[in-house]
Amino acid sequence: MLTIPLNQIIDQDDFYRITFLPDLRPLVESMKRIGQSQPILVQPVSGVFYRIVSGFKRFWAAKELNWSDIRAETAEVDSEQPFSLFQKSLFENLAIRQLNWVEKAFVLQKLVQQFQIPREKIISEWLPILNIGKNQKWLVWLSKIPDYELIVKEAIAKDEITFDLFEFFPALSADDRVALVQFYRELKLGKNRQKEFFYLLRDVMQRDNTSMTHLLENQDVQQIVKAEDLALGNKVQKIRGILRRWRYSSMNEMEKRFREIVHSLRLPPGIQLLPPQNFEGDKFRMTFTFRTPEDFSGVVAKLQEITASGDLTALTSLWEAD
Amino acid sequence: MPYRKYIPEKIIVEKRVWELPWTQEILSRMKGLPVRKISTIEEEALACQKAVISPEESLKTLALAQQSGKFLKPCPGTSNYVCCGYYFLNIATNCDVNCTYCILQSYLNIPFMVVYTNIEDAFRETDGVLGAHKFPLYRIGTGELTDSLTLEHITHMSEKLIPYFAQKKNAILELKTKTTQIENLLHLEHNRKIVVSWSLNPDEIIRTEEKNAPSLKERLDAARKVDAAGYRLGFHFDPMIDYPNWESGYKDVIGRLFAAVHSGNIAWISLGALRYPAQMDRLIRERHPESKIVLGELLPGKDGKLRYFRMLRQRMFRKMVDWIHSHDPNVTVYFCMESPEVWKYAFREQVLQKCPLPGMLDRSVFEWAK
Ligand code: SF4
Repeated sequence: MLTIPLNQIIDQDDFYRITFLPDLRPLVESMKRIGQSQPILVQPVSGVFYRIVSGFKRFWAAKELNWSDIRAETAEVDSEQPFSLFQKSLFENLAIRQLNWVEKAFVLQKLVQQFQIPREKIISEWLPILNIGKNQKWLVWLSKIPDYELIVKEAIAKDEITFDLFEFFPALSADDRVALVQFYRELKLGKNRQKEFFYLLRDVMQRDNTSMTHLLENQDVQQIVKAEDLALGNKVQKIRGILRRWRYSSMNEMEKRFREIVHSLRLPPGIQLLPPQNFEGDKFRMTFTFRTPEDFSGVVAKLQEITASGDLTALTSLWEAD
Repeated sequence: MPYRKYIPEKIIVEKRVWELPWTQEILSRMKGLPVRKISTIEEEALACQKAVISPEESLKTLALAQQSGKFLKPCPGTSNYVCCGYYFLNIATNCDVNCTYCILQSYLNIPFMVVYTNIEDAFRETDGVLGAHKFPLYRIGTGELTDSLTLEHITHMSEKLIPYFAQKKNAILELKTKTTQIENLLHLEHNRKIVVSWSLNPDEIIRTEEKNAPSLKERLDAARKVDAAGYRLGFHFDPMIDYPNWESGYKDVIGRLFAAVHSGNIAWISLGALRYPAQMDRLIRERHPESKIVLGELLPGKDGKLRYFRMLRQRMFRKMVDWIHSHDPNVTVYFCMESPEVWKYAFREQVLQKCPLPGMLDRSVFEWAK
């Protein structure tokens, strides 16, 4: 066991590092109160310096506490050993916690690039160890994550981005990835909404040969995102409306016309008129609610009034639109 | 890219069809290619699946096999949409043309180009069905699970089917294709019982979505020759694709079509807008990343398939019907798997109430049904 000055540890060396965005607070608190309970494992580099094999969090906590040195054990390595040391460090981590997606991605990237483990072996052995299905697509999608922008990695590590979108991220430009993550963060979108919004944006982007950044910078969208008087839920609904209007413009036009007709019928609040789903078919649906026989008579009278007015013909004229 | 006929890299033959005359005939045309006897194509397909062989690679294998199920089947149609009462005679499956929108991508379990060489069984089965009654009339096509003529240079299938159907009183055969493989047809006695059909699209769409198929000009040139040989003709604008210049694109195709052939020989023209099962969306995006068809305004229809928004279909069809009828008002136009509402608004009248679709098509091809 050694006591090593912190400045002899190579801060930036990430040969063995898989930890990303750890929550250091509990560890800092614990080390402040009871000191370092476990030594870190280091490997000597060029005589004077050391690289960390495991114990990155303890090292960062020590730095935060302004310690000058840290207790460590050294691992002597011959050429065979780096991979064993990496495994040791990894399984120590896996035994006590779940890795986040970025950390899993770091592991995969190291297996491929640093340790040159054959892809088939990674798919059949390592993906299950990391709790990922044995599908080579996952290997492709995840091994790109380490190269993403910091804000994107942060959002992924914090599980703010649904993993259903990982497959699409490699095809986005760096600007688009960042813009999307910022947009999702501002709206605090749930996972299903993230997917829905992504598909809408992606399709409009591809159809119109534009970028996601350009779409998200749209004035109407930004006004809603920035609006201080709108609740988050309202913002999401309004932006959803805009995205759907971009993606399904004819359908949107039809919905608008339908709403205008319904409005012109001046239906009382308890009566609801609905078009056929996606306007396929020609059957409209009307629902109404009532509490008392008098309520019911009121509804019937209103329906008779509408029938007599002939205003309902506007509904069938919907289909004639060209 | 100029049209290139399908040439397999190898042939596999089920042992049980090895001795059949059509098997031997095909093998004699494919001399020099490696041939392997196999037990069944199902077993081979499974092996391919295990070895993760891509669909493109598997398609380079031509399989000669036995159809053990039925050759002749009614078109399954699709719920809540109007069906034309068509029959399929499945003598071959799969297709090398590789259209981006092709349903076969998500449909077939056997990844090879397959020809069922026990064709005598197909004739026996068809005789049994057609011989049972004078009615109904049968409109039969071979183009459900393949392009009817894409393997013609290898199989000479037309030389078997056309003489057979030429003799039938209550059936016509439709050979539906995008190819130009019509040379074998030109000298055959067809007795006007054969409809040779082309799927058409504007060249802009052919270039991006039907990349391995002949150009529009090549298809129309082939149709002209078949027209001159006295065959009835069919044309299918299916799938129609909604793209920025669709109006000028499709109008131009119709103009060129009527300039190429005698409209009196046209048995029918069908229109169908792009549609596919929802699960195919992902497949198209993965296999054809350059295709833009998935970016159209597609929404789930009454049968759950994705289709263009109804008003878009209506508008496309209405224009198409007008353009076609401006050339010849007597040409039969119908919609494939479309809703009664769209029929009504696209034709501006209740054509289906005057005559249901199967009757309408029967009248186009059976003189005595008129
Ligand atoms: S030609 Fe027909 S069968 Fe062949 S790929 Fe195209 S759509 Fe499919």
